[in-house]
Parts: sequence; C-alpha cells; structure tokens
Amino acid sequence: MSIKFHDVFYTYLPKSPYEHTALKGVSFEIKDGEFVGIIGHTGSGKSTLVQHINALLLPSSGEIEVDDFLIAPDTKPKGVKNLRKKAGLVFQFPEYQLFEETVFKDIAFGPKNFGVTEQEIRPNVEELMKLLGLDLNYLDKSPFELSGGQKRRVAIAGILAINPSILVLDEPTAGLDPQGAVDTLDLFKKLNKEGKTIVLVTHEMDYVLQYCDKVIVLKDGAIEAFDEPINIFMNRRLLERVGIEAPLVIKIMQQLIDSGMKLNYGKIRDVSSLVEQIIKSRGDCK
Amino acid sequence: MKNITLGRYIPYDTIIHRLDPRTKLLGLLGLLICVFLDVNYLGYIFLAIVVIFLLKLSKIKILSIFKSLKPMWFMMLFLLFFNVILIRTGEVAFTIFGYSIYTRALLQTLQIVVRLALMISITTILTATTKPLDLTYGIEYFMSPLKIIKFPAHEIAMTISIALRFIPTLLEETEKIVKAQASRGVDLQQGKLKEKVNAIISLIIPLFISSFQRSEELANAMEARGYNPSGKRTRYRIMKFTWSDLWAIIILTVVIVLTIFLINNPNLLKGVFLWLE
Repeated sequence: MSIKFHDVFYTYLPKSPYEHTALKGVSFEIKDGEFVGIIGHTGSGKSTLVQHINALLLPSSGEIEVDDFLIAPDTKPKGVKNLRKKAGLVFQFPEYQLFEETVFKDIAFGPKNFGVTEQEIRPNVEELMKLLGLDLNYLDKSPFELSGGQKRRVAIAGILAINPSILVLDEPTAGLDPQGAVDTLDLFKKLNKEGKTIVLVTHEMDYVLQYCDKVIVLKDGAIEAFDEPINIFMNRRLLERVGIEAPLVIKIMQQLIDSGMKLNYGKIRDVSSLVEQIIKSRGDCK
Repeated sequence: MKNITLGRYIPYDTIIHRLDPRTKLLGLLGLLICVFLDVNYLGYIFLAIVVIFLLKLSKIKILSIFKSLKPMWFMMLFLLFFNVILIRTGEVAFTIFGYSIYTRALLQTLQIVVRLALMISITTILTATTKPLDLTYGIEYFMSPLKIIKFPAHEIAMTISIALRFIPTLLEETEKIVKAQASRGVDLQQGKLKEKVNAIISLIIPLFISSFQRSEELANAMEARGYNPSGKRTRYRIMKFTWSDLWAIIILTVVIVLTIFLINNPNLLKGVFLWLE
C-alpha cells in the first residue's frame, strides 16, 4: 500500500476573512512497508497533511493516490469507506473518541462499522489487548474507569482492530509516560515489520531517529526535505531553517566528530548504537 | 461545521465595528422596538432602507441574510396557511376552489416575513460587528444598576461570556470527534436510521464528557487564580464613548422619531413627494 501525493493544496475556509492555506503544493511518495516520520513546527501543516490520507479532508487541488484509490477534490463520499478500512488514522489524544459501555464494545466498534460481528472480532480484541499490555479483566469495564494511559491504549486498539494496512499516527505518545511511549512505539515498529506502512507525526526527534526509515520535514505547508533521519539531523542549516533541534545523541556525536573522532554515523540511531560506534572507532577500549 | 454565518463575529474594521458596544446595544434595542411598532408599509420601507444602509456600512453581505432565513421557510408557509384560513377581514383578493382569500391575510403574513427579515438583519449587524466579549461588557454595564437590588449582574455577564467563548471550542471539538469516528467507519451521511442514531450517539457521548471535563478544569483554573464573583474588579479594556458614538445615537434618535412620526402621519411621505414634484 503506497501513498502518493501529487501537488496537493489545501485551503481552510476559502473566500472568507478566516481563509488559510495549510498545504502549498505537497508532493511525495511513501512506499509500501515504510515507516515514515512527519516533523515540523506547530502549524506547519502536519495534521492537515495526514488527514488527506484517509480522505477526511479532500484536497483543494492536486491528487492523492493510496494504493489504487484516487482522492481528488471532487471525490464522492461513497467509496471512501473502503479507503478508511485500509488506512487507519489515530488522532492526537484519541481517548476522546471512546464512548461505548465496555472496553470490548469500544474496540469492536470500528470493525463492526466495517461489517465484522462482535463474535468474530472477540479473539482479535483479546489479542490486541495483550499486545498493548492491557489486562483482560478490563474487557467488561467501562472505558471511563481507566487511567489516561490505558484509555489511550484502548483507543489505539480500536483502530488496530480494523486491521488497516496503513497506520497513520498523529502524536500517539503525547502525554504518555516515557515507558508507555517506548512500548507503544515498539508495537508500531513490530506491526511495521509485519508489513504495515506507518506514518508517524511527532515532535519527539529521538523517536524519529530511532524508529523511522524516512522523514518528511514540513515548513509553512511545504516540504523542506524528505530523507533518512540521520541525513536530516546532520544537516544543521536545514534544522536551523525549520527551527528543529537535533536529538541529544546526534549533538553528542557531532561534537565527537568535530573534535576529531572518526565515526560511521550512518548506523547511529540511539545511545547504544552510538556507544557501539565509539568503541569501534577507539578499537583499544574494552 | 465552520461555515455557520448567522450570529458570527466578522473581523472587519468599519465605522460600525469601532462603535462602543453600549451604543450598538442601544441601537439594537431602538431599531427592534421600531420594527415591532405597528408601522404601516411606508414605515417598513423606511426601516428597510435604514437597515440596508447599516448592512452596507458594516460590510455584511445581504445575500447571507437571505441564506440564514432559509430554515424559516417552513414556518412562513405554516403561518401563511393559518392566516389564510383564519383571517377573514378586508377585501377578497381572489378565490381558489370556491374558497375566498382575503387581502388582510396576505398582508398580515407579509408583515411577519418583513419583520423577521428586519429583526434578523439588525441582530446580525450587532453580532457581526461586536466581539462577543465586548458585547457582554456592554450587557454588564446596562445591568449594573440592578446590583442595588442584589441582581447578580457580573455573574450573569461572566456566564454569558464563558458560554460564548466556548462555542467555537465546542465546534472544533465536535469536528475532531466527527473525524475520529469517521476514521472508525462511522458514516453520518448514509445508512439506515438505526445506524444514523448510533453514529450520533458516538458523537454526543464524547462531546458531553469532554465538556464536563472542560468546565471542571475551567472552574479549577479560575479558583486557582483567586476568582471571586463578588469581588471588585478592574478591566483590561475600558469602553470609551467617542464622538462617533454620540453621532450614532443622534442619528438613531432621528430614525426612531421619524418612524413614530410616520405611524401617526401616514400621508407625510406622500406629501413630501408631492412637494418635491
């Protein structure tokens, strides 16, 4: 399932005093099975961009291809349901979307809308809850009795239950505790290895470096760069231009390189791989 | 969701926008009284000219007023139907299927339609040119004399301004939830009645929960900053009465006097026309 944007523009409230163009000619291609990050300042158009992937927003001009589905300015809402089964979108603070009486019903709500019965989905729901580290005792509890982090997991499970082949995540870790955030991202990485295409919108550059294959950098509704994370973070001028700070690991590495150490930086993604490369370059250290 | 035109503040910078909210509130009241007086058709033409002039001045599209009248079509037909059946005075205008329709019935309906259109235009001028917060300051000002009889003027103004402040927030929230549920396959446009009811439930419950949460958070935040409804407070923006406000009030008074004059002397305008000729 690939995603292709062709010169997409999007304008909020056209022809009114509140008119605002959020996307200005965005073109890119995400290949099947990639894990792509989208970064940029607040208001750079990240959320607007991802809402085009499952046709929640239709482009003002331009086209989007998601697999064999074409989204154009005049797309009819009829066929869109099939697209939404293929491309699942998890919003920022998805716990807002919970409403059912029990956790089970809420997770089964999505699949039910796409024609899967509650009996059929039951084993799936239980498996998902295990994957997300939710106790099976919660199945028949009200989702509103759960803590914030658990609600978030239930909401994410609600999208995963639809089993989309593209998963779009808008800041899935905002407000989670550090361990919870890492667990959730590890889960997405696992799903990615099983073949799902993942699009991750985030402000956490450490996660981008650690998990993403490629990064789209947005500024004022246009793409500034589309490259591998390490190339983006090594480009100081680019980072300065878009107002993004490199992860700590990169900063340390840059200082080491500046002070004369030879590092094979292409392989560095987190602290342990940095240490590994340092040891390699020193050679003598045990 | 975002293109609700009726009653929304439109940020232009016109003479009307710059008037003091108190002047505009007085103006609204004065013009509304004029509309509800039993003025004759000359009076309505005069008022319509005044209102159209004000709409032009405040850069409101007259077409948008007609658009906002759309949902009232049904009510107007309903009124016409009952007026035609019930009012049996005046001359017979015409006869359908042996049933005669009287001129008075038609005129009465027309009058209601004109009154409604004028009323909506006048209130739109007020809300489109005055920021909601300024409007509540104005309301609070006019209510403050009632404080003597322990009327909670400030509390009411605060409640109104909080309610107004949260309308866009709630709309935004609704849009967010609509999108989130649409991603889970909820279809608000199509489907059977039962599916539609379910779809609406999936919107209303989250909306209720988040509004309750929001109001609790707001109450806590206000209390944390020591908010005391009966305390004496100062204001960041002070309302200023300017020369243009004085002029507006003078013009308004002239309009009201002229309208009342027209009621008592229906032949006045005719006389003016004759004199001009």
